[in-house]
Amino acid sequence: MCIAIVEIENLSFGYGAEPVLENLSLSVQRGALLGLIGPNGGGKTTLLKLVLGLLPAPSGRIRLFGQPLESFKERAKIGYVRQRALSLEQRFPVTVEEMVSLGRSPRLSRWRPWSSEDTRAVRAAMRAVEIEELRSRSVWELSGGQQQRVFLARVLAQEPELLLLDEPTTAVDPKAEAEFYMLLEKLNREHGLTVILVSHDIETIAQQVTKIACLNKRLLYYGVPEECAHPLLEELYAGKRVLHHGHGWTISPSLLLSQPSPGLRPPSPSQGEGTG
Amino acid sequence: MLEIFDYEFMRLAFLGGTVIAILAPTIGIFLVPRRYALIGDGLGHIAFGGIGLALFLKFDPTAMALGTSVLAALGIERLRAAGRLSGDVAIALFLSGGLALGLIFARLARRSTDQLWTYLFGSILTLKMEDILLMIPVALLVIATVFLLRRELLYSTLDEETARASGIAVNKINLLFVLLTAVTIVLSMSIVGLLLISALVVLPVAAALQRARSVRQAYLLALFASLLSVYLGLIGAYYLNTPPGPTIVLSALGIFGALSLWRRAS
Repeated sequence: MCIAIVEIENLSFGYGAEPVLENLSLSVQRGALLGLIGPNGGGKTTLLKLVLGLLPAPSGRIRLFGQPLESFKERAKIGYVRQRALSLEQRFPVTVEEMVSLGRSPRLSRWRPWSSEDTRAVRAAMRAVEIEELRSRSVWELSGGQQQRVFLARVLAQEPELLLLDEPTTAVDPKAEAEFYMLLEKLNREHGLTVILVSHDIETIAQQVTKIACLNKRLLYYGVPEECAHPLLEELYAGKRVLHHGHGWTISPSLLLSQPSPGLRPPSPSQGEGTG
Repeated sequence: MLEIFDYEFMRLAFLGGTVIAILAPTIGIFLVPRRYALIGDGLGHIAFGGIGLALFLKFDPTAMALGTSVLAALGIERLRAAGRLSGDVAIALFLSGGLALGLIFARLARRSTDQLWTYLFGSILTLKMEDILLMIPVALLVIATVFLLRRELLYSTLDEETARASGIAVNKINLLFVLLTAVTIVLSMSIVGLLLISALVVLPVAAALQRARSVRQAYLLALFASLLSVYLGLIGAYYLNTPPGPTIVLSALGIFGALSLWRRAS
């Protein structure tokens, strides 16, 4: 049961001379639902992109499913949902079903055309995130929360074993956000999907995740959310007010937004709409 | 009305026009959402540079046009992929350079402007059977390739980063796609001419996007708009005695306008 799906050893990475990640070591077991939190600019997205192979090779080692990143070929095993996957300038008519079907592309090949198995996977993915009734709607007509479900379904159609999500609920209203995270928990619990979820805000994810990693260039904490110590979070958020919240610790989002400390990139206004 | 088909040159024009009318939106449907609408113009101008060079060196103009636009396509994609230039700036560079070179070489080759005119504005009425016999297999090859790659193309068009993360060879797909675009542009050259090529590649797709609600619908509508533009253009040119290339383009614009109005009204 305790198989490490992601193993990271002594990972360092920077854009030019600017270090973004320093000497990071972390391993994620099969079946984990890991919340990766930290301030903006703390290296969360960079870490995901390194694991996905989207950035040039860093120093240190990354192993995926037991294989070194450089020789890892089974990309379809890893699903990725990025921030704002639909860019607004691209108003191109795509139905929900067409969008979800794209998720099958990595499983197809020139010599394995579309089959009933693919149709079944697409239907199952839409069912899992409860968007079946939207299937012939244009993606553009949907709300932000529904669109995020479409992108989740797209990545589920790929039948991944590991799911990486980069602040998937940016620009989604709080209710849809809570539903989205409950859905993720269900996928993790019922389908055994390993999930790494990036968030800038511990409050929204603390109830769902089984483990928390706090990242600000270095790994400051890695363990269960309940034990994520108060002083550590204060250090992480550079002195912001931290509240005890029953299931862990909460940093007041309004303070996070209103008092960006020097060296931290302030969150964009749209990120604040849902949490403030 | 059917007397139009009594003439061999009109029958050939309809046949060649049909081939290109199917080919152009097949590429255009991916160019438009990639914000690459002007690549047709860029590659067309480069092809013109190639034609000037071919006239000067006494080579085959079509072969040279194909060679130069394929090279330019690779160059544009490289610059874009490296993030050195945005797609539209890259295209603008090749656009002006190609036209300038074409005009200079043509002058050096002491060719009359009439000959350049046919490349600039098309010569669908002078198509020969052997042109069409060459056009058909090439067009089929491009269409078949796009058909086989349609999912990967669409995925990397709509969300390049996610497509890349899921293991799709996005760089190779993009490269292959600009090559197919270059081939399409040179083939379409004979129908509407280099200066009006974008119209055939982009306008039917833009028209279809006014009404379509799915990718499949958009493609089918674009095919329909494209065929209709070519047929209306040819018939219009025949009866009004206007140049066929520009008449085809005006038909495409008319269809675009009609669909836009229909969208507003509904």
